[in-house]
Amino acid sequence: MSRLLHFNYDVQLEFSQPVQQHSFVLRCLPPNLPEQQILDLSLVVDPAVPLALQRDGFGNLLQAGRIDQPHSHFHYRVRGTALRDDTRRGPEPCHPVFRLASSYTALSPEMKAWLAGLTLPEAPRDRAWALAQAVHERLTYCPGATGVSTTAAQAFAAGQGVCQDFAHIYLALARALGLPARYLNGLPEGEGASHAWCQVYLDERWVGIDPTRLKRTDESYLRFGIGRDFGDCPMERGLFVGGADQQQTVFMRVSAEQ
Amino acid sequence: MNDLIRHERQINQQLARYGVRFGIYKNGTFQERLFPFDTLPRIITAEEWEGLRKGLIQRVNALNCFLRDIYGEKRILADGIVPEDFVYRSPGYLPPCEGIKPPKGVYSHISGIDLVKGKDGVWYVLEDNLRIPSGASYPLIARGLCRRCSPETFRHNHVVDNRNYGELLRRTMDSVNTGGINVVFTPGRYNAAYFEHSYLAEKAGAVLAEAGDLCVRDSTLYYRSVHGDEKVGAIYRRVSDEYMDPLCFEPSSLIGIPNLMTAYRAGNVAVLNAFGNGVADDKGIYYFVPKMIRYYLGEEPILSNAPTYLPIDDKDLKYILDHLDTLVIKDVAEAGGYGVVFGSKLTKSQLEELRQTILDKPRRFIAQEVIDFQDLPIMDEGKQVERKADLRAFVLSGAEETVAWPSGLTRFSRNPDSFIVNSSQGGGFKDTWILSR
Repeated sequence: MSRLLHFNYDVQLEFSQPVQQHSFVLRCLPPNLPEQQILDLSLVVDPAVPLALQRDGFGNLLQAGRIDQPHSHFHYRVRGTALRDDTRRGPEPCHPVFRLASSYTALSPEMKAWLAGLTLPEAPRDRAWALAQAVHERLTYCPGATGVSTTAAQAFAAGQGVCQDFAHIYLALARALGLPARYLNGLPEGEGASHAWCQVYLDERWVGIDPTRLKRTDESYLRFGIGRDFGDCPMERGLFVGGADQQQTVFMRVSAEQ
Repeated sequence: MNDLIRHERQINQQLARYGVRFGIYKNGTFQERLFPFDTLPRIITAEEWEGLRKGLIQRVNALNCFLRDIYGEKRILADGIVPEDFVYRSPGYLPPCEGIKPPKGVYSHISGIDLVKGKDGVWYVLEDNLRIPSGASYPLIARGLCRRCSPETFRHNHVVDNRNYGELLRRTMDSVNTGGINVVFTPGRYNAAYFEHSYLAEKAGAVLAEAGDLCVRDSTLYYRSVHGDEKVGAIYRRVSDEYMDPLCFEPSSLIGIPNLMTAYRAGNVAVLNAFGNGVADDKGIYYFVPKMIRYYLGEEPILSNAPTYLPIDDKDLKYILDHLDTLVIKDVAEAGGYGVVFGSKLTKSQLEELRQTILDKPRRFIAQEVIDFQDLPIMDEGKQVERKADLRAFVLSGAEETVAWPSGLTRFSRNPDSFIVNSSQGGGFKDTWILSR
């Protein structure tokens, strides 16, 4: 069923000392898609600098800029409204890279052995779902146990992680089973933090699966970026000069009207 | 010629003073060595060069078409000429480059094509280097020194002047420049090829810059000069793709330029060579270069590949398995000199193991005939001896034309048993003379 999503996404970076020559790339805007019509969208960056609005190799929207002057905070705020309707999603092509392991999703011998021990249904659609169930059961959701650079193999060995790790492990295993799969990030309905989930390519369509929440994704998910894994579509990447500590505060809210 | 030979020591001393060195990795550590110069040139006749020249230009043009196609329409994959896996499994294929059109559509501006001349007199291409092929400065500077030591030699032999390389490089950069200055981008003075970077910058009339001298603002690359920021229209970078932009590629790179990719994507700067070229010079793709030439140019390849076999083809597979003990087997997934195995050097059980690996993972390997290539004379402690040598030819592609530099880097191997101490491993180099008639 279609849903109108109003979304707010605020990120504040506070530096303990002023930093300068700060270059950044954001991927914090939802693209306009048949199943996700963007009705209203704004991005405010503070300190205000000109932004280059581009698309990357995966078609993700990116916003790049540079703050030369010393500054002790960096704040970006996204506001908007999207009409989500998954019935409008048609057949789509699948880039062959989504069939292959990527840097975060290389399969470890441990994962391979575990996968071989699973009894999964034959039909791809059922298989994809049963795999999500198995991954969800195998892992414990535990913030702080892993970091942004943790690979699927490392998180699998630890047996715990956050949505990014659940997604990476799922992708690694799905691809090993011959199911093309990709990484997505964005905002789910509710309040809290941004989220990551997966899509599996079945019958020429991308089908959303959220292994963290063990859910087939629906119109409550607002998509930002896609990629082979986290490395292709981080919501923010930056580099600056200055030896400051940084503290990040994220506020996110997505509310729906049906 | 004897005149030249007599000057060998002086020329090498001069080369050492200039800092003509090369770096090698050995046992996990990086070492710099002098690159010994042998005064006896490799001589290529005018007629022979004409064939090489045409073949090199044809090959590089086809490789540029391939890169444009792979990061664009992908026709060659749709038409089944090159199997998808060979492209997408290549570590040189970079998805962030999908859809980007480099200025004037040129991907490989400076190509280094490695060849050997077989005992049958035929030139074989061994490898295409389309990322950052180095070495043009060595024959360039050696020629200058030779001319100074023995002007007579060059008065009596009809050698094509090769000292126009800087001018060719400048023309190539100018032709793709988007407006602004030309820059040669070096990782810095501690890089083994720093001499070459500074030398080429000077010869091409470009500014030599390091990471701290460049920054991207408003999707534009700027050079911070004493007069203020100057826009850069073309950057000849001597740093690998993965270290070029820490916000797009390897995040820990300290020698890159944050957001260079943004300027490149916007079409505001030409990057020589383009990002993602590694997909076209990988061992697996090499097999398909003659097919690319037919596909994109509708021409028969002028230069030969070393005879190569693919295990995924049934006929080739049978041949490979029957001749495993005489072929070279190369692992497509490995880069550089790694993953190269000579069947003749394996024991019976190792051969059997290799045979099983090939059968298990046929897509991972290519097999090649060992080319019996010609030896060249070199002077070793005053005596003339014969050594194996190859040739790296340099081909420059600008917006309008592709040209082959009438010279090249001839490298020879030294006998490991020889008791020359200063470069027992790395081998040396020679000048390459192209005769004008």
